[in-house]
Order: sequence, then C-alpha cells, then structure tokens
Amino acid sequence: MAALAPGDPRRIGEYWLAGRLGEGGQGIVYEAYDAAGRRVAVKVLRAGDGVGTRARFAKEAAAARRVAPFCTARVIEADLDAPLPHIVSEYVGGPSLRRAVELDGPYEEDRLYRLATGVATALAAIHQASVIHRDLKPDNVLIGPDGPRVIDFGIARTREMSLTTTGHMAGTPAFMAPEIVLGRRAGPEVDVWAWGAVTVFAATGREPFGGDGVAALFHGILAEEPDLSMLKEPLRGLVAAAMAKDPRDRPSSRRLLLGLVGGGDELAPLLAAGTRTAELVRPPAGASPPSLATLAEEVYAGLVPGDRALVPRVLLRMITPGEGGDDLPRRVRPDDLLDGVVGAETAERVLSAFARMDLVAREGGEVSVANAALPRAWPRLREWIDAERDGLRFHRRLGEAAALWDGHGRRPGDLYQGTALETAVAWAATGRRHVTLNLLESAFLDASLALGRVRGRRRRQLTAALAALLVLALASAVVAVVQGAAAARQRDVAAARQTAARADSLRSSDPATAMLLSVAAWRLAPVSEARAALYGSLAQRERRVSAPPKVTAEARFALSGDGLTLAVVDQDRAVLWDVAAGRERGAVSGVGRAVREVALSRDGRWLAVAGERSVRVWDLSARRPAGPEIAGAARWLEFGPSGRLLALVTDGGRWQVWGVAGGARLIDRPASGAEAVAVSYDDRLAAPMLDGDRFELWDLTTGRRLRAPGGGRAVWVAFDPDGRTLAVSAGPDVVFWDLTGRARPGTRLEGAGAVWLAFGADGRLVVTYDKRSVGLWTSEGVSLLRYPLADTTGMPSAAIGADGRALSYLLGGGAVAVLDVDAGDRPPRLASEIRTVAFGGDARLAAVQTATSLELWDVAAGRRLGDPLESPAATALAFSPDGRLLAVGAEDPPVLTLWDVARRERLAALPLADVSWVGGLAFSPDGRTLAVSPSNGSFERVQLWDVAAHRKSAVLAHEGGDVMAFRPDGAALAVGGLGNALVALPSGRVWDRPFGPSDDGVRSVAFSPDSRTVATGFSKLGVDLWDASTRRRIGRLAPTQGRLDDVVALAFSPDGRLLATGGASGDVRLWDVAARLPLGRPYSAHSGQVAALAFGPGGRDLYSLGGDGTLQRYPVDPERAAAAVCARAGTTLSEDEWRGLIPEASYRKVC
Amino acid sequence: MARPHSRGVLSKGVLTVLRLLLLLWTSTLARLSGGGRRPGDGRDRDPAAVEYAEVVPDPVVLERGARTPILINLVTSGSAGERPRGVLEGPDGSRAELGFDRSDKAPYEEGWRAEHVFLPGIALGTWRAVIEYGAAVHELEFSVEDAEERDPATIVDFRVVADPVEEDAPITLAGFLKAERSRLRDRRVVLSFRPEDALAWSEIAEAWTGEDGDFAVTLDAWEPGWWRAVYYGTPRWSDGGHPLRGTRSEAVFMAMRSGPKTRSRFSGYTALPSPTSAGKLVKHSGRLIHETPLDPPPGVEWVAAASREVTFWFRPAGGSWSPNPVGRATTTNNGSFTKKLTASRSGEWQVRYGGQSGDLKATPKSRQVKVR
Repeated sequence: MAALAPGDPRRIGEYWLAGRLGEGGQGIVYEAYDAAGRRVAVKVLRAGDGVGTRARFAKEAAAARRVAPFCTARVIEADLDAPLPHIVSEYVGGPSLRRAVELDGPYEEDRLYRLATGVATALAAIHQASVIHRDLKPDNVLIGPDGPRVIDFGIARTREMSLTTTGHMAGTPAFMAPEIVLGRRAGPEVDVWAWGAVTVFAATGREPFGGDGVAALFHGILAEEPDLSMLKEPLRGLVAAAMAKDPRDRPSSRRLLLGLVGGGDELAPLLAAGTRTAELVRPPAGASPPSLATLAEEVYAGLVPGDRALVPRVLLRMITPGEGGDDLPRRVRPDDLLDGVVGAETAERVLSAFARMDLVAREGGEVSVANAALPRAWPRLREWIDAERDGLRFHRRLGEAAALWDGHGRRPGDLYQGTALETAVAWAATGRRHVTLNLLESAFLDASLALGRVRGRRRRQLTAALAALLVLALASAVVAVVQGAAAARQRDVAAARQTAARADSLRSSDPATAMLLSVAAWRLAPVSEARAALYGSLAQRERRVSAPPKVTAEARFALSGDGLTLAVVDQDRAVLWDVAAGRERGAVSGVGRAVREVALSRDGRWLAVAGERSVRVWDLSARRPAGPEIAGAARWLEFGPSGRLLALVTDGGRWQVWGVAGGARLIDRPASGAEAVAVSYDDRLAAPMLDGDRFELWDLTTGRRLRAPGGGRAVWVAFDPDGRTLAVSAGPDVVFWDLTGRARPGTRLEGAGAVWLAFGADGRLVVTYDKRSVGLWTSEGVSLLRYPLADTTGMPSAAIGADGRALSYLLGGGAVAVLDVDAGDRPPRLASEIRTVAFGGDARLAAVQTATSLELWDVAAGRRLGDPLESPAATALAFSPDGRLLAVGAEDPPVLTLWDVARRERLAALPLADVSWVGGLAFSPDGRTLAVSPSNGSFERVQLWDVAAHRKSAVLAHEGGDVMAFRPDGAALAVGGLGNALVALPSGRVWDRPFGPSDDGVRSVAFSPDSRTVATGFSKLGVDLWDASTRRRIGRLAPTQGRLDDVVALAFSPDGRLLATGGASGDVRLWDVAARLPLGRPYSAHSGQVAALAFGPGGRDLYSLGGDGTLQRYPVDPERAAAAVCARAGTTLSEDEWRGLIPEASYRKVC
Repeated sequence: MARPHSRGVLSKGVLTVLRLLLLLWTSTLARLSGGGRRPGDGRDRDPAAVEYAEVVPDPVVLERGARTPILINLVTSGSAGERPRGVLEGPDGSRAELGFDRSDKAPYEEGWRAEHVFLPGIALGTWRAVIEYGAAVHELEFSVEDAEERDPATIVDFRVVADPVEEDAPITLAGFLKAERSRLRDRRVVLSFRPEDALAWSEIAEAWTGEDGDFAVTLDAWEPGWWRAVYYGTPRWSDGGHPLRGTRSEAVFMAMRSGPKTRSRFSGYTALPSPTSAGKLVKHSGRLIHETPLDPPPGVEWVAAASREVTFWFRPAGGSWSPNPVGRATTTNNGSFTKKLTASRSGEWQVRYGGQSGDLKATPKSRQVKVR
C-alpha cells in the first residue's frame, strides 16, 4: 500500500483513508477503515471528470451490485452525488494475479486449474447478472484468501481503449479480444477470450501475444494462434476454444465452467462447484499487504512487556477524541509524553518502533500518529480510546490549561479552581486508565490544589480528600487507583479477546502457554473468542515445544530414539540437550565444523558426525572419539537400534555398515541410488533403501544378499525389535513381513501412506509419517492417531516415548514438539461397526444397531444397558423427545416397532405395506407423531403415524429421506437429500427444494430450539442457516481456514447459541451461531463418518458417535472445558508469567 | 479333421499361457500406485464376496496320456475370516478339493490361487468349480475337452485407443477374432476391465465381430486399468461342425490423465439370498463411495457418495445383459443402497453407477444369483 499523497482526502463519508491501493484511468482506489475498523476499498472518481464518466461510474456500481458477491468485491456503499463520488467495496486481502505471478511464479497443474475455474466461475456469475466485464486482465483478478475475485468490472475504460479519442493506446491491450481490436460490438464473448488469455498469463507469466509495439500485438490477436503447449487437458482445449478468433466459436462462460467442473447444466450447482474448487486458490505467502491493525499489532507485540504497557499512555496523548468516534491525530512534543513513568528513553523506544512502520511521523520536533485511519483500523487503540473518550476530552482541556499556565509564567491566575479543579482532580484520581498526567500537568494540578487550600475554606474537606487521592494516584504511578466498574469490564473483555488470539497464535510454537492463555482468557471474560480458544486447546494435540539452546544456522540436530534427548552439533561443539528440562546434559568439543549430518544412538551414548570429508563417531560418555575416523563424506547416516552399528550412505553412492566401538567395516556395497539403510535390532540384517522405491535385504553376518519380501518394493522399511518382522511401506499400506521361515505378509497398517516409519522400543507401537501427518499405530494394525503437523521441516524424526503417551518430533531450528498421543482415556467403542444410531433423552441414551444386534447404551457411562433388544435389524431409529419410546424401522421384514425403553418392552409391531425398508424416522416434538420415510431402493413419500393409535394418519406429498427433522414448534418437517423439502404441518403444503440446489443434496438438517432457524449441512459447502419462516438464507458457516468437510450431522445446543457439525471425515466442530464463526479447531473425533451428534443435559457436553463405533464426549460447558485444559496442561500461570503475557489486565488465578 | 499336433507342443503351449497369465497376475502389484487410498471406514466390514473367478487355461484341453495342470484364480473382497474353500465337480460326479493360497492383495481385494492337475483319463465335458467364501458361493463352469473337440480361436491385435486417454473421454477397444476354419462374422466378444488397483475383471461391454472377425466398441473411460477381450466359444457340435473354443486376449493397460472429476467405486455389493427360488425377492445392497476432491483430510480420501442413482442389470446364464436397467436405487447419506428385485432365472446381476455431479463412473460389480 502506498501512503496518501498530498491533496488526498483523509476521510470520505464515514471512511478514514489509510493509503492508496491503486490508480486507474477512472479514479484512485484507497484503503480505508469504517467506524468499526473494518478494512474497505474506496474508489474515488477523479476530480473534474464529466457527466459521462460519472454515469459510467454509476453503471459500474450498479453492475457490481448485481453480481453475486462471492466472486467479486462486494459493493458496500456507492455515493455518486457526493462532492467526491465514490464506491466503497469489500477489501479483498490478496494481491492481483499479476502480482501473485511476479511473487510466486506461474501457476501450474492443480493451482492453475483451480484458478482458471475460479475466474470462470466469477465470469459465469457476472454474465448471469447480464453484466459484461470487458476488462478482464490479471490486474483485475485478486487472489483473495478464499479464492480469486474479479474486480473493477463494468467500466468501459474508454480512455484506455478507444482509438478514436486520443489516437494511441494508453493501457495494455494484451487481453483484448479480436472483435474489440476490430472495433466491433463487445459481447460476453470478450470476457471468455480474456479468460483464456488470463489463464495463459497465469500459466506462463507472459501475455499470450507479444512483439514490439501495438501493431505486432494486434497482429497477434487477430491472426496468430496462441501457444498453449504449456497447458494440459482439459484446460488446453477450453482455452483454445475460448480464444477462438470468431466470437461465435467461443463457448459461453457457463459451458466453460461445465467443462471445468463437470456435472449438469444447471447454473447454481455449477457455480457452487466452481466456487468450491476455487476456494483453495491461495495468495502467495506474504503477498497480501498487512492491514494497519496487523502492522500496529506487530509493533506492539515486538515491544518488551514493560514498554508495551506504556504504549497507551504514549499514543493516547497523540489523539484528539472527536464526537462520535471521529478521533483525530494530534501533534505533540516528545517532552509532553514524559510523565514520570514514561521516561525519555522509553518514549523514544516506543516512538521509534511505531515510526519504523510509518505509524508515527516526526516533523519539526513534533510527533504524531501518521495515519488518521489508525484509530479506526487498530482495535486495540480503538478500545483504549473508547474506554477513555470522555476522560481524553478532560485531559486535552487540562493539558491546554497547563500549557497556558506554563506559557504565561505559571501565574496563579491561570490555575484551575472551583468546579474545574474538583472535576479535574476527581478525574485524575479515579477516572483514568491509560491516560497519565505528564510532569507539567501534574505540576499544574498540584499548584491548583495548593492555591485551592489557601482560597477555598468552604471546599476544604472535599478538596483535601481529592488531593489525597491525587497524591496517591501520582505517587504510585499506577495506571489508575480506582476504576469504574464499566471500564474494568470493558478492559477485561478486550484483554480476554487479545489473550484468546494470543493463545491461538501460539498453538504450534508454544502449545503449553497456548493452553494456559486460553483458560486465562476465559477467566478474564466469558467472551466467544475465549470459549473458542478453550475448545481449540482441547482439540490441540501439542503438549509443549521445547526450544533448543542458542545455535547458529550451521547447527545440525538429531533426536534420540525415545525423544528425550537432542544432540546439537554446532561450531565444533556437540551438546546433549535434555528436551524436557531444557538444559544441557553434557557436551563435547572438537567435533568439527562444516558438519553435514549427525546421528545419535538410541541410548544417547554415541554420536556420529559427518563432516566434509569423513565421519567420526564420538563416545559421549567418555567424551572422546570412538574408533578411527571413517574416510569419505556421508550424505546420510544413522545408528542401528542396538547402538553397536552405524549405517551410512556415502557421497560416492555406496552404503556401508560399521561397528561403532571397534570401527570395523561390516559391509560396503555400491548402490548408486541408496538413500538410507535400516539395520535390525540384532545387528544381523540390513536393508538399504534405494531410489525408485526399492530396497534390498542383506545378511550382515555372511555378507550375502537375501530375497527381499514383497518383491523388494518399498518407500521405507523398518525392522521390528523382535527381529522377526520387517515393516515395508509400499503403496498405500505398510505390510509386516514375517522374516522367519517362509516370508509371509502379516499385519497391515492400512492407508498409512508412509514415506517413513519407525517402531517404538518395545515393538508395540509404530510411528508413520506421510509428508503431512504423523500416524501412530499398534503393531496389530490399529490406527491410534493421525495428526497433521504444522511444521514438517524437521521431519522425518518422530520418536515415541517409552510409555507410549508422548510423541516427539523435530521442528525446524532444533525445537522439539511433543504431542499427547494418549490424552485421557480412550473413547469407549460401542461396536466395531455401527449401521444406524440415535441419541435420545438429551443424549442420555443411545440406540445402536451394530452388525449383529440392536443395543441400548447409557451414554454418559459409556456402558451397554442390558442385553440387545429382540428386534429385526434396524435400518432407522428414533427416540421420542422424552426418551421413553424408541421407534425402530426394519427391513427384513419391513416393519415399524415401538419400544418402551425403560421396560424394554415392544409396544407395537406395525407392518409396512409395499415398501422394502424404513430409511428414516423422526418424532414430532410432542411425541405423538412419527414421520416415517419408507424406501423401495429410493425414498417413497413420507408417512405420518399416530404413535398412540398405532396407525398411519397421513401421507405427505413429498418423498422422504434419511435426513429429517421436525420444527420444535411442530409446524413443519424438513426433509434432506437431493430433493429437499419443507413441509408445513398439519396443512401438508410442500416447499420443494427450499434449501437450494447442490451436488449431493442436503446431508443433514436441524432446527434451532426457538424454531426460527433451520441449519442444513452440505458436501463441501459448509452449513447454511435459513429463516425457518421466510426460507431465506440468513447465513453460512464455513471455516475461516482449512478445508470444508461433508457436513453429515448437525445439532443445536439447547440454548441455540452453538451448533455442532459432524463431518464425513470424522471431524466434529462447534460454531458460534450468532457470529457465524467456528469455535476452536475441529476435533479429529472418529476414523469414519460421524453418525450422530447430540448435546447432553443442559448443553454441558456434546456427544458424537462415529460409524467406527466410537463414542466421544466434548466438554462444552466452558468451566468443564477449562478444567479439562488445566488437567492437560498440568500447571498454571504464575503472577510473573501473567504479567509478561497479559500486561493489560490484572492477575487472575488460571488453573 | 483335427489339426495334427505333437504332445510336446501342446504342453509347452499350455505352460506358456499359464506363465503369461501368472505374469499378468503378479504384475498387478507393480502397477499399484501409492495415490489410491481407501476410505477410512467400511472397508473391513464389507461382507465376504467372490468378485471374480477364472480357470486357466479355459477351456482345459487335455493331451492324451498327459497330466494337465490348471489354475483356479479367485478374487475375493471383504473378509470371511478364513480361506476360500472349493471343490471341483466333474460331469461323472467325480470331486476334488481345491486348496487356495493367497496370491495377491489389492486395496479392496485379495487374490487366491488353487492348483489342480487333471490326470489322464478323467471325464471330459463341463466341470464346475464350486467356491465358498464366507456366506458367498460362486460357481465357475468350464470345459474339459480333447484337442479335437473344438477348433482353437485367438484374439489378436487387441488394442485401446487413445492411450493415455483424457478423463471421461471416449476410447475405442478393437481387435480381431481369428480361427482357422470358421466363419468369424457375428461372434459375441465381451470386453472386460480391471481397475489399476484391483484384481477382479468386470464385464463392461460387448461387441459383435464383422466379416473378418474384426470388432470394435467405443465407450467413455473412467479410470486407468486393464482391458481385455473375451470370446466364450461355441458349444460342441454346433457351428457347422467347426465349433470354436473360447479365448481371451492379452490384457492391455490403459493409462488415463486425471482431470477435475472424482473417481467413484462400489464397496461391498451383495445379492442375496443365492440360491433362491424363482419369483422370490433378492436383496441387492452395497455402498458407493467417491474420492473427496482437492484437499482431503489425512486418511479420508474416500467418502460416501450420497443421493446418487445406481442401476441394476441382469444377464441370464449364457445370455446377454438386459438392454435396460431392471431396477434403480438411490444412495443414502452414508452412500449405501438397497434394492429388492425378483429373481426368475439364474444369472449374473450387476450394479452400475454412471457418474453424477462431478463423479466419474464406477467400475460395475457383478454377483451371481442361482435360481433353483
């Protein structure tokens, strides 16, 4: 962002301008902030432009408003009659495509495809709104955080493009379609052409036609075929068609999109699919210019805690509070900032830090806030100002009075007296938070009080009391002595939010502190952000990250087999670092410089150091080299698990195994593609791993090659400690081969996809790594954990602790992260497989149809209630709202049975005629009606059954589904699936597909407890919230980052504030319904699709059942969540730690 | 008159075919790519089923006085907790146990192999291999005959164009049926497909030969894998006195460029009960899954394909596939489908999914249902 230029307005309407984003033929685009601090883009028409330009400007605003907002920058406001006509639109945080290509290079493969799809989706939406962009080019495609957006459309850009008015080309016409060059009518086909050209640009970083001068360019556009050799199908064919010279030969934008995402010809699902694809286009890292808030926050965070606490004192002095929030920068002399606590040096440090980021300007011995938008843009500053708005006005008056007094030779006549003095002293003593009195102001008030004592006997006592307060306030130099309750609350809310944000930012770098900060945030104020941070702590697996000792960039690291010790080799010195304690355990000097690789034996006794020309093994207990130097450079080395052998791969393309103590070479084989060598625990076997996913098996005792199991194909292999098994990762699985006797495949780690794996010391656990996530498995092949890693720079290096409860791995720079792999108790597993399931009675009960039987479970206790019910296999289940009745739909035979849950007694068996099975069931809120969805392969019309009379009472005029929900007031039934519907009851009126078209239909549905909102879950489109009466969409829940899951289960909390979603991936997450934001990170809850979700009594807990048969409980009540986080953290924040981390609020007990 | 040949040539020929097929069989693993991950759920719970069985060679042509080894290759899915069991039944009522050993493994399937040696003097005619795996029973009929009984036929120059092919783009499968003395026009050739990461063959299409035995069929590609053409032969004493033996072409691998669509497949399809009585309902159930697009969470590359229409097709024993689907079903929220259809004759049932909403087609699954 460029700074504002002289003459630029500082404010337009309600928007404070912060800088220039760009300048075009028609006007200037500014970055600005509204009253709430929201970042926007304001496009201002150039002064002096005529009526025609203004009309085009109006057209652009109208066009932009017509276009669906997801593919462009949403227009927030347009005022074309203002003195400065302007359009205010959403700020898209990302660079233009041109800039993204400059920063990150051309787009390739999937990224290119997604980008092209995103732009095509936007075009289809633009054309759908009957708008032709006419100026699509890489500068008008912004790579936002949620996919590409097309901006700046509807402008004819006549000045740049017209050959008639000026006779020359002002802009770059490289993206013009031939018909524009020929001056013919420009229909939507010009945009399709431009899409092709933009796609070529994205793929190559070059415009499709070039040459010297406009003539060559025009010749290219009119006569040459673009070079599309860099594109792959289907893009190549689509771009070729899009860039057909004759506009009639080009596909429509809708056909383009169809070609890209497939599916039917209906536009809405096409746009949804296109958006879905394009959402994963991300701007290059660091490409988005940081907002003022980000810059200011960075400066603030970069200060030492002591200075940080003084920032409000310094900055508030540089603000003049306005009416209604129109706060203005104020110039001050640096001396004005000194108040006895803020000294000259401190003031200089704080000012310099902000000045470096151009947030504070110095001019002629005075300093000021450089950007008038800063008070709007930076929430922290806004909160400081808002908390003291009235006080600041007092303060300004006091400061002016003090300056006058001082300027006039400190005459008594200029001192405060009477009411002015009382008010000023009362404020100074009790009403301040951040604002402090500088030395002059203190002297002024002191002198005023002294004079008052002499003059005002009538007011003596009162004044004396105030004076005492003032003395206390000034002498203690604390921020304030007495604070108003409201101000304190406001401050705590602000501090809670900041603390929660800090917790989330520390998740991967300092997880232990993150956990404690999330609890601290909740202790400060029960705000949604604090709650989200608590849930985030519960979902977080990281227990701690241990920082390494200070090292240079040359340092090399190796983690011991149990993850407890880190070897650090740096600057000729090797240090053994106790990871948990964070201290040195021993050190050896003279290990050499320019170290390429290091290896540490499992027991931490031996260290191998590979230098430029040789490898040396060190006995760390004796602190001296062991054995002779091994000549030659090694590019990989590792100790065998016994610690007696060292395996290495040389630069010369050989693999070798050496005895550690004696330095004897056991084997030395040429293998140009050798990458690593696995050695068995008994030192008998070695398995070199070669490129091309091959490995060999060698007997070290005989030096003979053995037959490698599985055809010798593997990405990685590892020996089991029992010496009988070789784990081989090839393709999607890891297969355990029995090496004794006839080699046979045994256990499989299904879907491990491992590029690396290792056994735990006792062989019971296996750690795998698939380039993204770390996996933990039992040696029987049961998956215990699969966890995506935030930082994989130090991988593969994972080690499982001896107790199997912690998994350590190296991060970049030698830090060691520890994951809880067995946090708390394992969830109960109700069955190895769940066919269908229902929660009942506030999740007290669950009815579970396993592969063989129908069982009732006590959810809280995780225990089965009695023997299975004697029922045919259920295909659908539902509890009555009071939990007393269970309805069971079955298949063989197709029958509906009703059970008294307490007595386990079948009350009725109602055969269903002409259907194959029951696919869905739902009880009405009063428990009197049961909606039944029969199926004959596809769902038949919904039947309503009278529960008491045991008879069918109605057949609705719409097909049912396995996803159904009654509105809590009983006035409607929502049905999911592809043909979703809302059926009014009792009238039976049907609204067909009120929840919109989508690829996979409505996958889950739930009403809010107040009946006002209905939530529908989709495949990869998140959750839509609808007004249950008007059936209008009122919101969408989609993660702010990361992927969208198929939302297959939904549950509102009893108070309606929270919504829980369960995904096809097994993830469960909580949302703040009002804020439309996720609360914390998703829980990786199940290894299969989530089968059911329900809140427990009072909404204190959430339960989920997975298709994998596991039952999970999540504490939703924040106090419980806080207790659970504290239990995991195992510690608390001391007062000192609190002060360092949360300087803006006073200490509270955390855990 | 039968074509003269020597014993040595025949046994060498049989061995060569066996070797070739073995090579093809075992080369599967080499083709498996690391990219195809299975769904996180459902895979271990699929009911035990026989996906495919074949005898090699087919037909079994005996040489007078010689021992003739044969292989029964079997592909199963799901888990029965034990090995498949099999019995060979001769036309004369003779029986022999088959011992299956595991020979291969694919993400959803297991390959098994049983060896058997026909001794000189065994009964000629139609033999059956009855294979049980869990509750699934599969019958495989094949002919054991002497060299003179039918004329040999071969499929030559079998090819797939284009290769590699774009996703969902048309491919043409073409070849020639060759035989020495017979008219080659209007012979039915079946085209079978085996996905890259699977072991079982599925019948996909059929073609009728032209004057020169040439055949060609065009269809849309949906995933990379192996294609082959199969000619089932003509019954003894038919075909103007020159009946033809069945034959299979070599398998040809077709590579496919992946595009924006997602792959889909059936996981666990059963058609039960079998055997059953004519007019009774047979329940077809299973699950349809598809890849999650773009950026799936770890370990969840395949998820339920909900609200998809699947169709059911029938081919009576010895006949052709029904020209239209005989039933339809829609998948539920967890991708499963169930449809009850009346069984009137013994034959093969197939479930198909033609692709919907950005999905590619799924390779169809077949099950035998025997009607008493």
